[in-house]
Amino acid sequence: MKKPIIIGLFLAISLQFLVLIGMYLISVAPLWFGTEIKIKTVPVDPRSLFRGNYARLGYDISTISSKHLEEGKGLRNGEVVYVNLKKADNGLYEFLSASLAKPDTGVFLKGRIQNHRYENGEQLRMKYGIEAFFAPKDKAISLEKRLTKNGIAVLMVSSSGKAQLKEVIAQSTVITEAAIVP
Amino acid sequence: MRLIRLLKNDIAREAGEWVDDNIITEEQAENICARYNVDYHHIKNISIGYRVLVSLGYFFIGLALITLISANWDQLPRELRMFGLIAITVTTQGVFVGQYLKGNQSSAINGFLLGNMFFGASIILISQIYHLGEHMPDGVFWWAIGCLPFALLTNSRALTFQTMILANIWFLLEVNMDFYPVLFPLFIISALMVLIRGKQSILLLLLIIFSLGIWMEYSLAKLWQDTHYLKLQAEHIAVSVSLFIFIYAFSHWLRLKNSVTAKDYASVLALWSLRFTLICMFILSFEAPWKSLIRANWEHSFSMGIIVLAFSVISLLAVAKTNCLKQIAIFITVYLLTLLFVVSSGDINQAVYFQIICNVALIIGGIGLIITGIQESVSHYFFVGVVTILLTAMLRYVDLVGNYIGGALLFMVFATILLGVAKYWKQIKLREEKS
Repeated sequence: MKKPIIIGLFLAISLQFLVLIGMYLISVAPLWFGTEIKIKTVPVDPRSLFRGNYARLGYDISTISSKHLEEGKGLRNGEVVYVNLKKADNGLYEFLSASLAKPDTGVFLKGRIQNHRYENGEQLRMKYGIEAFFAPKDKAISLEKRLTKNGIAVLMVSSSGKAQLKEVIAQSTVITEAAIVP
Repeated sequence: MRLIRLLKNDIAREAGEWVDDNIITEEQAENICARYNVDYHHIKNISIGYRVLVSLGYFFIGLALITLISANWDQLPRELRMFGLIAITVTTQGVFVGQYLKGNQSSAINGFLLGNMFFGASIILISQIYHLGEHMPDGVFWWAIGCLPFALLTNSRALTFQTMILANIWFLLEVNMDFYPVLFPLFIISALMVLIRGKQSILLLLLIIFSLGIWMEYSLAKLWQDTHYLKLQAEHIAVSVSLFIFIYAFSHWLRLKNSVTAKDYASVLALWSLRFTLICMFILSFEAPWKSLIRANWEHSFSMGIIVLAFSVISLLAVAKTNCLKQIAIFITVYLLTLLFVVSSGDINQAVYFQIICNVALIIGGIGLIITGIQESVSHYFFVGVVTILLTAMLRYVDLVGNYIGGALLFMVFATILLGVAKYWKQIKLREEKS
């Protein structure tokens, strides 16, 4: 067996290992180094067949108007959009503005357009990677019931705008994934 | 072009039975197999069934593990799930690298296929644990890029096929979202390297041709885009047709090579070019597609024309030394004239004339295939010719005629054609018997 092939095969395994570790690090980086913000949330749907049971969360910023974005060549599904947030008097963060370019300052979330043809392209459905909160079936349903109106999502946001869902607060109760999943 | 070479493994097995029945000697069987570049003794000893069972066995091991993880998914801590997936992937690949180094290459390649499946499952599940699914094509890209080195290092057709399937899914997902995947040629070039260096693989050849086709079409969509979106337009159809004429011409060029593999690939390419042409012509045998083509804007007709002409010239050069130069030259001339008329027409009332010409061409083509089948004793061409004529008759009866007298007249025309061909066949057979 030629030595370069042996080395190459071990490098190939290393590549797969690095891809998986890289995905993990990218996803946990906001939890380690990010800024904590709170944002209003409502549950959408409690379960997923493939992921196990989880509560699907919706936000006011899950749908934004295309008018907030610069006129250009058109928006594609999967287009990266940065949503700037401002802190309201109640301490929760709210929508401020949106842009296709990464903002230099302030708190912002990096999301992607999911369906630019929604309502003739005037409303854009957005995904930020904070839309699912895992819990066993019973707890996911119970969480959904308790979150009917006043849910608050605690997010950790990195300087690149990548956000991770840290916990969900229902009224006076704090629910974390760590508390639910042993 | 002889299509029997596509069944050469079956010929080798059949030869083994003839040897057992003392119809031919083993030496003769070896000579028959050598003609098609098949190892008589190797084919006799290997069992495809065994390979299928082993592959399925590994597949079910993978399914069992994924099911086990899924069943206990909720109970497992997040970190344990993540590191468990990484450990399964790396351990599987590591174990089978050990097998590969010991010389168990066939088993190792099955193992790498399994390891790559675990790698993909890990990407999907980690994306879901950490909510990374905002842009799904990225995950498929990383899956394909992780599989690619194994394919290249082992020169394995199966691993390359797996990688190319993933790369194609990634490409189609991206272009469907109007993004142009710049790195796709990397996968095509890698697959071509394996195809050239490795053992013969018809499936891989067809997948590479498909990949090249979609890459070329969407590259043109990128070149011709006037908005952010990648649109397929009428010009793409014209380029596709010229590409298939080129593939057909290329198959004749390949046939002249000494390599048995090149001859086999030539047969496959000729066969699929023929099938594509017939499907294309059946679609164009209706009026509506012609109306759409006439109505099209043809905004990029100049650059399209250059590409079509370039393919035509290369096709003619490829067949310059073969006996089908005349045939390809006629194809190209008819195609270019039709394209010119369609682009410059602008009157949708002319669509019916194009439709009639296409139907006549189908019937002539069908007759040509039947005659070729009889002359060269290739049953596939003969039956494709018969099916072409019958299908054309049926489509026109449903679409065009629709009344008893018209239908009867049409069937009489087709009956005359088929009976005429049958008479021709009889004459050929009589001539053969006399000689």
